[in-house]
Amino acid sequence: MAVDEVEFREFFASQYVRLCWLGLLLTGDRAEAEELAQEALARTWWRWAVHRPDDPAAYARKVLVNRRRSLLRRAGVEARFLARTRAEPVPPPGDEQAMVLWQAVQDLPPRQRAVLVLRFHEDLTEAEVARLLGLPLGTVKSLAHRGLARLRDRLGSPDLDPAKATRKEAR
Amino acid sequence: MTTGPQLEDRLRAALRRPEDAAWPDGRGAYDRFRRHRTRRGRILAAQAALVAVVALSLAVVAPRFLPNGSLNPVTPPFPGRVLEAPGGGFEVAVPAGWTNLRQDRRILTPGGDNGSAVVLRPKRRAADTTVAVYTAVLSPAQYPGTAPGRDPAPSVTADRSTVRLDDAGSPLGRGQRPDGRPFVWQTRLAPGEVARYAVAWPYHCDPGQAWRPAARWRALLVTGRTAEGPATGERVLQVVRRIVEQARPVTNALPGGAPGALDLNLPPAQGRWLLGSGGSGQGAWRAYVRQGRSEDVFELAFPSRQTRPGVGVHAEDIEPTFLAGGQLGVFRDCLSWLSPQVGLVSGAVPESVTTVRIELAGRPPLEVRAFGHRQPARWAAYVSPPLARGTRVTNVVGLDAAGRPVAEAEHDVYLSHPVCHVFR
Repeated sequence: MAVDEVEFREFFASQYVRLCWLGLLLTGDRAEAEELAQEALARTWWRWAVHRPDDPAAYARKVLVNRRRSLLRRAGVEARFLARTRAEPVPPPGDEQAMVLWQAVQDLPPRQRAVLVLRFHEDLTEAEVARLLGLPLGTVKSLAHRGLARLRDRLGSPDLDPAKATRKEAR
Repeated sequence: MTTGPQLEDRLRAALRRPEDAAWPDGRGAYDRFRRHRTRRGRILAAQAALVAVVALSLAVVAPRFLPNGSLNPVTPPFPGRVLEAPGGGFEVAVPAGWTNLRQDRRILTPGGDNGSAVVLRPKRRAADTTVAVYTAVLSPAQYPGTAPGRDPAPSVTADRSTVRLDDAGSPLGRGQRPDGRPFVWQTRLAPGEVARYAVAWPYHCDPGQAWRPAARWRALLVTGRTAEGPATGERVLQVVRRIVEQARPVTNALPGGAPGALDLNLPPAQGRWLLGSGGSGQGAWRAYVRQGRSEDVFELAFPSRQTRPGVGVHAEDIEPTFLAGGQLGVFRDCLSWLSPQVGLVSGAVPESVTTVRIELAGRPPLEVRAFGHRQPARWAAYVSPPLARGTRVTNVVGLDAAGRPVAEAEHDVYLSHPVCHVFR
């Protein structure tokens, strides 16, 4: 099956920045994010050539997330070196608090970060995240819970901490 | 309570992509994509051919390693600078035309210390081309210098987390460096890998130092990979061979020679270790630590619920730096299938912890003994007795043998939620 180049180019234009952004959130490294997006779209193109996916955007996202996971898992330590020694994360434009939060997300362990990014950036449900990451639903809930708790702890902001906020109000 | 969702909203806002945000260098993205796509197509087409070529190359190279067990002399020593990885106990010279991609640290040593690693790449850009040098603890059955023909299969644990050097049935290539260190090399490789060697690299253990038995099973692993063609593969192979031959022991590595008498009855250093079990009937549990290639994992399994793989097990990563920093992870499980429901709190603790005090709201604290010490796993664990639904845990403190607090629960706003509380 031949791929309609014009149609795919439109698809590319609509998805490229979105995928780069997702890659940036998952890796914290702009060059790695771009490489992941390119790879995801290339694999989507080859898949398209055989049989057009029902939802190409979801397919590309799945490829990107899986590619990121398999880099971490299959290549083992080498990939972890890549993951850990990435360049300084590039924060998004935004206020200072958003930048602090962005940095805190980047400092989370990879699985917690992936769950939070997919939940709060991609707006996926926990069940969808579980399917995408190939994890049990309970694990996803647990990772999300621990990730959020870690963020609260890391940020240490009273208004982000229910217990502190309550104490503050009581005073 | 409205502050909980506030963080989630802020997170959404912080992670949101600004509307119409462009990606830097996004202009030529489609052109780059077309090149990427074409390259990927070529890779797909060349993959079968590459496999054949690499197999053929290895078949030619293999006899040079196997008959007398020593590497054939290769080109003169590297003229490049020397990189030292003190934690890993080795130093290597960077060959001409190559550069140090990064040097990083990871948990490698049996004592839980950080080890170092070196990853080299060619100066001329080549897709996914690296040579990684690092140390890891292998299973005895695969250790360089162990009896030839030993089947590595028994060392592979049920969850396949053991470092495995070759596929069952394929002979291990083996030999000896000029300084007497034995090495083995893998005959079947993962996609993209050109070569993978393991060289005996045991620790030097100072008298009186509390090393684990597994310390002697440390090996220097040298792995070369590339997504380029056979010519690059050959260059990578040459670099890997030179490093295998010329890497030098430093710091905590034995200065050289054979690693001495090997006790093959020692357990592998990686695997899934049962630390303890408890409970009864439908509430029975088993606590494990799983050590694999990546993070250590604490698992609390409920056999009565394990009707199929992946069910009835609560597993979470252990974060060594976190535990080493005097904090405890507190895992909460609700045994919802029991009537009445009860909850458990559990977790992995440093081995210095002998007792865990679980502080409860409105009730005297509980003290439970930590268990699983002296296992090959680096961690001990604790599991509370069943806690009635609604019980509030306010803190968890790890105590050493003298009763001194050495670790405390991570600050967690959810810790004091009632046992079996349902988060919505």
